[in-house]
Amino acid sequence: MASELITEDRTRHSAKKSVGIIRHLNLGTAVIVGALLAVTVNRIATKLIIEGDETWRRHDQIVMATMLAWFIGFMIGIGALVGPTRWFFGKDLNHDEAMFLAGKDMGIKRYFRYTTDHKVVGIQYLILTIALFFIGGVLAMLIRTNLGHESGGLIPPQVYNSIVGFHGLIMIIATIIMITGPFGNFILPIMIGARDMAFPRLNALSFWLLISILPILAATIALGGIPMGWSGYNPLADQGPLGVDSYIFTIVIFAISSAVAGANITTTAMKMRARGMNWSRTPLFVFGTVASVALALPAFPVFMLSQVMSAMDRAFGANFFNPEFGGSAWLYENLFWIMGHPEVYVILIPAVVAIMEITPVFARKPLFSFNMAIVGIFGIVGLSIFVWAHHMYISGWAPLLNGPFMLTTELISIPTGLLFLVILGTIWRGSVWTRLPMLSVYALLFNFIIGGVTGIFLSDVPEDAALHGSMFVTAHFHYTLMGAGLTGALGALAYWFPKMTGRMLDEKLGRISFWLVQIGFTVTFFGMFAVGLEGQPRRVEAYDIIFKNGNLISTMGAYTIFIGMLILLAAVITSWRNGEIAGSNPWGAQTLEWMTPTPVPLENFEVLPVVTTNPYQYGIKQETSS
Amino acid sequence: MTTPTHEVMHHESAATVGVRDRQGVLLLVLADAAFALSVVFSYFYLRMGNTQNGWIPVDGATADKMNGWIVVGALIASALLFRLGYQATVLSNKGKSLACYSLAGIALLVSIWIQLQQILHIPFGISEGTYSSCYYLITYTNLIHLVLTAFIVLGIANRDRMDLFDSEKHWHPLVSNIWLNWVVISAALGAICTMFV
Repeated sequence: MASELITEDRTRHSAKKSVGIIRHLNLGTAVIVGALLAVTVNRIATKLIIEGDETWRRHDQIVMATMLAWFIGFMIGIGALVGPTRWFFGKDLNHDEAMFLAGKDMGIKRYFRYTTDHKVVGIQYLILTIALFFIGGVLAMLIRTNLGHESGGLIPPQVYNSIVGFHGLIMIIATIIMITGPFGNFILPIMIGARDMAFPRLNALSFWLLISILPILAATIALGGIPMGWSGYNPLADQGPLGVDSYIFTIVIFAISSAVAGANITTTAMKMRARGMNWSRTPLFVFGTVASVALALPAFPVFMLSQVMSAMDRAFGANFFNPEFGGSAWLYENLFWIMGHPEVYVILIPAVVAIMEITPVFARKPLFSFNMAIVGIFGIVGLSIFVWAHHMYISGWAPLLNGPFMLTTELISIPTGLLFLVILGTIWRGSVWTRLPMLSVYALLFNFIIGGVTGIFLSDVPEDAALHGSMFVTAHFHYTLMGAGLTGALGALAYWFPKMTGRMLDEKLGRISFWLVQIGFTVTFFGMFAVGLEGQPRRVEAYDIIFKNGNLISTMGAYTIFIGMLILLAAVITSWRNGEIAGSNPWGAQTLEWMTPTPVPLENFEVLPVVTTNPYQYGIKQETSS
Repeated sequence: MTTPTHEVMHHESAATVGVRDRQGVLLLVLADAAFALSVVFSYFYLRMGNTQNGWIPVDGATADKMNGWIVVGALIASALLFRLGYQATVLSNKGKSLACYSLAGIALLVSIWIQLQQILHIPFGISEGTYSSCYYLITYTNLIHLVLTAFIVLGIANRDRMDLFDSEKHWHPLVSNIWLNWVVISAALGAICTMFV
């Protein structure tokens, strides 16, 4: 017995030794190396970059050099460069190192390392998303509190503008990653019967790239904020404070992270599906997630370019966007919206397909027309590329194109309608089991219809001329991104929580939260529609007294949402720690992720599954096959 | 939905992983192509707009139209050599593959040197018109491409030296070849743009 123990100890010791430098790298080393490099480069840049006529440009250069140094240092410190370096020198990772990177037997520490296991990355994304929503939510409360009184006064105007921009930026990042990050990473590979993602190290890279930008994002506050708003319109951004440099850096790194994640998720879904899982047996969540990331793949690099140009304008005096020196503000608007409108569907499609996964499970009925859902998803993806200029109707850019863009924008309601039809058809005459995930289905349908119909209003050129830049627009996009997008994500959270944590999400607290959020949401944004129709402009910290009642109602609704969200947060934390233990398949669902034990083992499946039927055969007697 | 099999998963074959790698690289090329095409779009947008006659620098100084093509020439040489190296790898001709990969790496280093020389001798400042801003953008982004590609090609040469490729395990050179071909196309796009002053 003693000799066995000694042998085991030696094996462990040799395994640790063979793992090498990787075992010393974690979030702590990343922060230390990043900070040291940032401070060093900052000192050198301050000395080397000569003070010229335009001192603001010199400061931009120093700030950008410092941020770049932080980013490189952080990525070195977390271990992102170990793989490429080892590849270059022909020293590929051995089995022990691969297992170490996958987080084997490492407990909670694996969440603070460059861990490659897709389930760890999924949980990391979930925590990050929750944190971002919390910060974005607090900022929303500051905005609404200030708008509670017609003269504002709580926050100075420039700070208010920055808070609005910061809220927008954080919420956009959070909503983009809220489904493809946590569930696309944790659930999707299991759902298709794979042992991991196609590129596990790229998977970790996409997450840690996001973490690396958090301090840069936070630095925005200290550097004067982003008073031009999250869209970063130029040449306004060119005149902005140093906080704009943080914004630029954040977008560039976020775009790289999105490209890496997009390539990874798409390859995983296309090349790693289980035997027998042809496209007609592939769950809709896989289609939707792939459609979303594949749409982001070409869209975000365009946005990235706009920010590279913006950085060159600010730091080196290039003239891309300043009309005074030959640039064009319209160029920026085009680049921004070529990304900006597809991005709406990057957010929405995963939310809707998550709801489509939930609906047949709780309606105990087969999905109503799988093919219609596919046509809907890819119809939206195809059309979304040709709608960007509806954001620019009144900018004066190419008025002759307003008609065609109005047409393409209104056409997109057809594939969207198909998705509604699939969900409604699935619920129709089903024996609905109204648990927490199912409540999100109803809420999404309600909110998305309002968001969609008001979107048709805004796609209409004359209507848009009246409503552009008003609170009506703000209410509209909150109905789509929050009312539909976030609601879908909350449904997904309630649905897959048992698989991800091994415990059920507290139903009672979840329901209280659900009703508070949905009632609060309706109150907030109906109030906003009303003041928007009356003409209240958005992004302004004080307003005319005629808008007072609508704003007061909106603020009260916003507080209700916030309380509801805090209750949900409490439900998530308490359920994760002490919730009711969930079995491997508490909902009686048929997709592959529910066929694995909970907690899911390291490589998901002991034996790889073979798929024989489509995943939505609820209520249909199945032949047993051997 | 499923029936279990008794198949036990072992390590995946080089071909299985290779097919995935190829797919992944193609998707990353798609993302990079979106960036490159946006540069082309921006170049011609600003050129056609010529706001406030701000396209060309006031003194009329422009870069040599052949500059971009010289870099593309060196890159094409590198890509052809790399392709020959890949074919030699598939045929297990070790000596030839190593020579070709190494020469491809050298050709890439030459293209980097040429690009750097061109950047150092640009006859106008970045602020002197939108043409100059675009020219700086194109040359610098191309330089980043070249440095990244040099890392890959030299890595492949080194790994070939260490006998890590053979007729079965040839996927890394294959996907690197795809990337290298894309870099040639991307550099050519830049060169085409700068032909139109």
